[in-house]
Amino acid sequence: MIGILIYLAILILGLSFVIFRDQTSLLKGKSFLKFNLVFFAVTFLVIVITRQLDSNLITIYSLLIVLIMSVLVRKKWFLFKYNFVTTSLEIEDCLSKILMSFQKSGNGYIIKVTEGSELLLNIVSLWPKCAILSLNGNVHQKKVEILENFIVKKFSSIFPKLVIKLK
Amino acid sequence: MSRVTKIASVKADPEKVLSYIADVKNHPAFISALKSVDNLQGDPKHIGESWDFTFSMGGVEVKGKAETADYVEGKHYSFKTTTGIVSTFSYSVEAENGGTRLTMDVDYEIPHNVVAKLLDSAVVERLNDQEGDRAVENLQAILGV
Repeated sequence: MIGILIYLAILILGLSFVIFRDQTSLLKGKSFLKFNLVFFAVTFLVIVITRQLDSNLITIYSLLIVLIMSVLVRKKWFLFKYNFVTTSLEIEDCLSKILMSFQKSGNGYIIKVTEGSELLLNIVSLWPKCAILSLNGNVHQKKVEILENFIVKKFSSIFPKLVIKLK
Repeated sequence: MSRVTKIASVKADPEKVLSYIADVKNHPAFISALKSVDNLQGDPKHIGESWDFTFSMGGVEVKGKAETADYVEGKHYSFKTTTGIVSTFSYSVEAENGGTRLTMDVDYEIPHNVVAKLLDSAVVERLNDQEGDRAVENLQAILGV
């Protein structure tokens, strides 16, 4: 019981760091993995130091809860980390690197490709390891290809399944 | 050492072209094989400024460090990669017909693991030459009106 309470206390402490941290600093995926490993190690150390491993049942329950909570916290943290705001920031960075003029529109952007031709880029959905973006417009320019390739490149480590729909 | 040299016309001012190229964070946008540029702390126009890169050569991912070797505003920018791949990238610009004549020179050594995978350095050189063509086409599309 005490082991579980210790675990919950460390979990709350760790989550508070995540919640109050600047979102843009969470864009690097490696910090997420380090957080998970550090969190697990600290919890385990505390349980060992406080001798909560004396009882076999507490050991099993604590470790099971650690594993389950790790998965749940990881999912929640990923969703928190890669929400529309942070993904939009990354897309805006892509657009600025390809010198496209654009303006925000809802969950997407109106991109001016050339005089008289525009594209609408939308973030359709985000989910752990998956994102769907859509590009709507009548013109398919070389700049759009570059944009598409660059977005895929930017997001490949974060969203292994990145779908860009062209219409 | 292998070499790739490309010359292209870009419909933009030489200063704009070189300023865009000298901002190395833009490189993944026009160099298809360059996956990322990270850990750039300062202004890449400053000689000695360094960053990390991840490059895909012949399907083999190579990570390394690069640093700025030279920058002359409106004229020339070059950097060299010091680990991962040994190479020197050199970009020169000059005004031409209202736009820019861009010259891109890349001298490089093919890493052993890339040759081992593809078993033929000529294949790697051809792939890199095609990458050079794509890079200048992309620059023309990005910077051109």
